[in-house]
Amino acid sequence: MAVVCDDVSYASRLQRIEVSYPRGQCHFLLGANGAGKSSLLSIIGGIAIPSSGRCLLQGQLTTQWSLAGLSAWRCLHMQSNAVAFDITVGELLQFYAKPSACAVVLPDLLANALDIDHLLSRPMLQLSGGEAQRVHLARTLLQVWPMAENGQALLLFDEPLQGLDINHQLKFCALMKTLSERGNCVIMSVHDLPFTIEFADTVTLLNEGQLLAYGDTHTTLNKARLKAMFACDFVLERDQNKRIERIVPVPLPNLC
Amino acid sequence: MLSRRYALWGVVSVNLVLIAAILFADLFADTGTEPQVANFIRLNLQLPLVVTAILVGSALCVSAASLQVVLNNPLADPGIIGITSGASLAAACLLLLSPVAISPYLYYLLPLACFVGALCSTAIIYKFARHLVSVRAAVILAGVAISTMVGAIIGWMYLFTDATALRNLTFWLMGSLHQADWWVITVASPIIVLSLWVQLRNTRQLNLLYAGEVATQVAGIDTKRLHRQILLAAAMGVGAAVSMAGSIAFVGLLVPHAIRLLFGHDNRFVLPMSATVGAMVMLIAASLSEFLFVSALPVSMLTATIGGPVLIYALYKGQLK
Repeated sequence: MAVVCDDVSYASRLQRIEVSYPRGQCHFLLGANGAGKSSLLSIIGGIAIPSSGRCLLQGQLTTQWSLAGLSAWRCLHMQSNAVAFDITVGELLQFYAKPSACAVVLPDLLANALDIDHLLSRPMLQLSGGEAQRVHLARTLLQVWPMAENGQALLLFDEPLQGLDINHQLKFCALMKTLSERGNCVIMSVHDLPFTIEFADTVTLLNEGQLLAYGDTHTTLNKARLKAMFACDFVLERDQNKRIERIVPVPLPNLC
Repeated sequence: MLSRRYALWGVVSVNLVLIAAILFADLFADTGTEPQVANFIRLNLQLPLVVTAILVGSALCVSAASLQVVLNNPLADPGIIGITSGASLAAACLLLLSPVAISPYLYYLLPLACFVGALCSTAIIYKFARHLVSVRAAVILAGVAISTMVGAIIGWMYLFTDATALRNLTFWLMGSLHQADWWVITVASPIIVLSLWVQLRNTRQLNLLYAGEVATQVAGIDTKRLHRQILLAAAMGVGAAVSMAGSIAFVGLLVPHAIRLLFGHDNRFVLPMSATVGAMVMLIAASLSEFLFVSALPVSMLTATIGGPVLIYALYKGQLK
C-alpha cells in the first residue's frame, strides 16, 4: 500500500478516517464543500499532522518522513496558488523542475496533456484562470517528474479540474490515468461525476468530515450515498455489468 | 533578457572604477595638498566612505530583494515597511537618552540598538503579513503606520532634549555615508557580511517561494525556518546599514525591481546583482558628494530626490503591481 490512513482525525474537520490507497490506481475524493477533502489531502501529503491516528506512506509515518525526503516522490497541488510577482511561466516552472537547468524543457507527456508550451514566455499575472491552473498542475508534476515518469510517485491534487475547459479536463484525466497505469498512486478531489465514473478506479466519499464509503467506483456510488452527501436526487443508470453509464443530478424545485 | 554574466561583470567593473576615482582622484588633479595629508585623507576619510557605501548599498538592496519574496510583496522595502524607522527609533533613543557614562561605547552600541529596533519592526510587519495574506496593501499601510508613529515619538523626544544631542540626531537621521569611521565599520561590517551570507545561501529556496508557501513546503523546504532565517538576516543587515548611514529611502525598492524587470526573477542572480548594483548606487552617491564638494551630502536626500519621482512614474506606468 502506498498510502494508509489509520483512524485519522484532524481537528474538527476529519473524524476517524480509515482508508488505504494502493499504487497503480486513480483514487477520487468526493464530497460537498467543507467535507474534508483538502484536509485529507494535506494529511496524506505530510504537510498537516493528524490530531489523532496515523498516516503511513510506504509503510512509514508521515511525521517520520523529512520534507525533503517526501518532496522527491510526493507532489501536492492545493487550490489557492496566488503569484504576486510578474514572473513568467517558464521561470516559475524552471524553479520547480528537478535538474535546475537554464531553461525548462517540458516532458512530452506533460506538454501534450497540459498544453502550456506556448505560454512559457507569458507573465503569470496575465494568464486566464484556467491557463494559470494548467501551469500550476505542470509545476506540481515537474517537482516529482523523473519519479512520476517511472511510476514511483504519489500524486495528490485538490480539485485539479477547477477552471479547465472540457478538452483540458479530459486531457488531464487521461494523463492521470496513464500515470497511474505506470504504477503511480494518484489521489484527487473532484466535483465532476461523469469524469469520476469514467476515470476513477476507487472513490472515497466524505460527508461532514466522516468517511461515508470507500471502494470500487461502480459498486460504491449509489443514489442513497450521493443524496447523503449532496442533499439532492440523482438519475443513475447501470449497464448489464452493473457499471454506471449515466449519472446526473435531478434539478431542485424552485428555491423561492 | 540581457546577458546576466556580462551585466554582473559590467557593474562590478563600474564599481571598481568608482572606487578608484574616489580614492585616487587627487593624484591627477593638483590640489596642492601635502602627500602625507593626502594619504591621511585617503585612509581615514575616503576609504571608510568607500567601504560604507559598498556595505550599506548591498545590505539594503539584498535585504529588500529577499524581504519582497518572503513577504510575497513586490512593494516591500525596508524603508517603506518600517524596518528602517524601527532601527532609527532605537538609535534615537540611544543618542538622546543614554547617560553620559556610556558615551564612549556609543559606537559599539549603535549597531546593536539599530539591529534590535529593526528586528522589532520586522517582527511586527511579519505578523501583519501572516494575518492579512490576501490584503497586500496591509503590509505597506502597517509600515506607514510604524514610520509615522516613530516620527511622532522622535518628535516628542525633540521637545525634551538638549541642543547638541539634537543636532547629532538630526544629522544622523538624514543619512550620510560620511559619518561612519573605522570603529563603526569594524562593528557593523561582520553583521552585514553575515546577513548577506545567510541570504545568498538561500536563493534557491527563495525561488520556490514565488509559487507560495504551501508549494514551497511541498517541494521540501521548511518554510517556517526559511522565513525566520531571512527575516533575521534582513533585520541584521538593515539595522547595521542604518547604524552606519542613517535611513536611506527607495534604493531597496527600486534596485531589485529594476533587476527583475530586466533579467527575470531567478534569485540566484537577483540577489548577487542587487548587492553589486546597490553598492554601485551608493558609490555614485558617494562620488557625487566627493566631486561636487558638498562634503557631507546626505545620501538619503539624494536617493529620495531621484528615487521618489522614479517610483511615482513606475506606479503610474503600472509596473509595480
